[in-house]
Amino acid sequence: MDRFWSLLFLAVPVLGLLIVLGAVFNVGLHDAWLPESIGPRTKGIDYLFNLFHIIVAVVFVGTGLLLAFSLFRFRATNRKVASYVHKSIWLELLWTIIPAGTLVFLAMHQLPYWQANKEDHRAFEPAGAGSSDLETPTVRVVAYQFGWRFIYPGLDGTFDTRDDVISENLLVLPSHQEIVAELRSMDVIHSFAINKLRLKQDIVPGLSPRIWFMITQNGDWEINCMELCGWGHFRMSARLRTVSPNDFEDWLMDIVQKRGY
Amino acid sequence: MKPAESQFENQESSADQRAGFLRRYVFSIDHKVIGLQFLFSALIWLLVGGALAMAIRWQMAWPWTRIPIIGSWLFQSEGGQISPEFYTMLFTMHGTVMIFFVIIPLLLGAFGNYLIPLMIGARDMAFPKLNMLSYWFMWPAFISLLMAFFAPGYGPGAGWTAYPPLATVWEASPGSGWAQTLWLVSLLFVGISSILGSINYIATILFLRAPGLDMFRLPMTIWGLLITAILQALALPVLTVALMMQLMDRHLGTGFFTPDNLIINNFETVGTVGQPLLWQHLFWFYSHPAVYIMILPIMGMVSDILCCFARKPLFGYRPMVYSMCAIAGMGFVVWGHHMFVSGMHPFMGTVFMISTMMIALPSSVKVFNWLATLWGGRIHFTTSMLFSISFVSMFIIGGLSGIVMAANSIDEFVHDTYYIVAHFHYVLFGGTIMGVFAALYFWFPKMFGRMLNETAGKWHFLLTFIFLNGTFFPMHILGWRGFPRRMADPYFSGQFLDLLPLNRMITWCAFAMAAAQLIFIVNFFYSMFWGPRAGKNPWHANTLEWTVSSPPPHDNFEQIPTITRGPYEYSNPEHGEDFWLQVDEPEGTVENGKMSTEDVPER
Repeated sequence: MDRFWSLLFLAVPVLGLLIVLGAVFNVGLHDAWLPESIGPRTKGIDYLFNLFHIIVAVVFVGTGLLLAFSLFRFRATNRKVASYVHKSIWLELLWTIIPAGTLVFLAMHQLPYWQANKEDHRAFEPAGAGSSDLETPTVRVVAYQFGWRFIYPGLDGTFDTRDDVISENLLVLPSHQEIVAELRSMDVIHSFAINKLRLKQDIVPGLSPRIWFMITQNGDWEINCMELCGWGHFRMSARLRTVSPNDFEDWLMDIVQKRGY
Repeated sequence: MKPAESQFENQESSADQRAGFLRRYVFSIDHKVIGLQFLFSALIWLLVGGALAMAIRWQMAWPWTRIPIIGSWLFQSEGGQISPEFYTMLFTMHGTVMIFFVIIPLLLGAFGNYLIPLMIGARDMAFPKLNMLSYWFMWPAFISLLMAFFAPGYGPGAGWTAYPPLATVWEASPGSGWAQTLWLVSLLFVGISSILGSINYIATILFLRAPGLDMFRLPMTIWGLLITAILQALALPVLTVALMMQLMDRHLGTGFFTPDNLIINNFETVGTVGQPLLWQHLFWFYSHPAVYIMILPIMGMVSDILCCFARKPLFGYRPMVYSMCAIAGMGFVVWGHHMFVSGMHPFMGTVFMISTMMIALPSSVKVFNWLATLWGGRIHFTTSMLFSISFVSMFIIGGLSGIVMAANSIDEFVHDTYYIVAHFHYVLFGGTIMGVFAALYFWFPKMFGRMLNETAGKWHFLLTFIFLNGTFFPMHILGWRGFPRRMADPYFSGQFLDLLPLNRMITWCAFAMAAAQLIFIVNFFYSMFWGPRAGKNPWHANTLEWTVSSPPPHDNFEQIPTITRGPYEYSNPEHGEDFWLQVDEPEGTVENGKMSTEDVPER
């Protein structure tokens, strides 16, 4: 029976690794590893995602095999007496310094990606400048229970004027252009998320966080609310449509003209 | 390792026999009775929390379909199916019940109470009446949470995190009315109960240790409980204050957390200038240390159990203690990793990312020390040992996925997806609950004087272990795809429809895992009355609780023992046996240089 238990614990790293490999290389598990990418924003995140999983998988398999091997090798039916060992300063140093080095490397290595995605001049006013120096966002997103309103500044390029264009639950954007969006909430906390861009930003009412991204394909995608916002949270999704910049201008003009401004 | 029979069980001290039934079993100030009261209450709540989880899994596998048998009885108006607001209640209450009513009462209330005086050689807690109060403060909590289930709107639906304004504005969701108030009151009482308990544990461990038991001779269980109690004493007041503030926002018209000029479900908030992020900071300032409150005691207990069944001293006792202290200390500066995408300043995200990365270090030191403890041992695969080994194995998975999501760029993708769900269930179910089973199989003989059935125990372990992984490992796959949590119907938008078969598989595994617990329930109650007698020290363990009869008499020790060695002298070549009790037994129990495991009648 002792051997059976060691094998059971051996199954953890073996099966775990097989599942991960199957997902990464699309064998047996289809479309299980990371959704498709529709913009350059995902590049760094996917790289980190893969890198972290490689490192973590090495530790997972290594410790799992070590555990299963010691269970097998040192089972009571195989041993007369246990060794009387209390400590080893060298081993402690070894398994403190190596993980510490790895963790420091990982922490430092990923800093630039976070800064590029979340922390730069597009979110904050430059030093010494007023908030009016922030560039006008392409679109203002207003979240409410349970839907999305997308407001474009219209022809005059400023918000809160008569020619603002409003679209409910359909966000049309030009592809191959950097989009800056300002997020607002009318009621509770929502979260603006585009899975295929690995983009997620909570919208706390009263704050107006900014996000920026570029989509390099034309097509229809999904926007989901990813923060619990009440009973209808699950149905709070909107369509994201990217078209060529010319088609985008046409779409906007079309609405403006229909409204007769 | 067959348990020795004992002829003199059920000896109760005369003082105990004089007391009436109510004083002895209900309003008792005996730490053992209070521990068992916590144990049984928490196990009953475990059934409730488990049932809620099953309902969640039903909705994930067969959304909006009739629940067989109980559906038509539960939801007459919806035609027997789960409604969206009912679903929000399900995961809110599942989290609340499992964290505040199961894990924390089990670890601190049950095992903390039962083990601390016994393992440090004290007759009782430092403040027995305070101890009794800490249990009875749980009852208002139980009652108000039960009332919350039946309040309008099916019960609280803002998640166990209760983020405002969803939780503070009555109109924000069906469950944000009286149900949310009752939820807050309930947690307030849990908090007070835990604060009372933790003060008691700290005082007891620091001042009532038997002579000779210096701090570095304490078993790891006691270290885990001590550090946890300190964490609770420091972190819980913050949660308690935050809960009070939310209650005042809801009932006294204050505006700590609710911003001005929101229009929520046709209700406009006026004149409040609160900040929802303040709640998140206060809440996670408690609730991240709470994660360690929910695992540190089990880390201690598992260390003791691994040593006992590997018949080997704990490897690196001091590094183990120091790494626990490091986890506890750093646990106070990582709470922001729950808020990477919340809208707090991104530079804070960088700070919390670095501290979160580094907290993985003491945890990994602990794992390596456990592996080194097993290496070179003489491993007995008892049920308790199997659960302990699985704790290590599962904690590795939960810990490693924690490193992945500590990277804030990755967290932006996996935040609020099933990757997170997989992570904390590997820590809290694969880790804590498996550890609780290990501890129950280990200390059940001490608590009830009888052994649990090992064959049934191993079946229980095997099935739980297989279906636990079948349930929670595939959740990583859901997370890799970005499958959202807390949604009544994640398939609504069509993006995740292809993940439905995988979710059905997970649900079947979850049902099977729940069914496997029946083995444990039957084993537990059968063995309590008809199991073989355990004797003083069935596992040939070293610590003090194994020097008294099972169950121990009212005041634990005939005379306070004097401790002569550390708790991990297994397989010491200087000693004839492969275990060496922490205390030298009085004359008459040492026969031919070997320790007798039989009880010796004193009277």
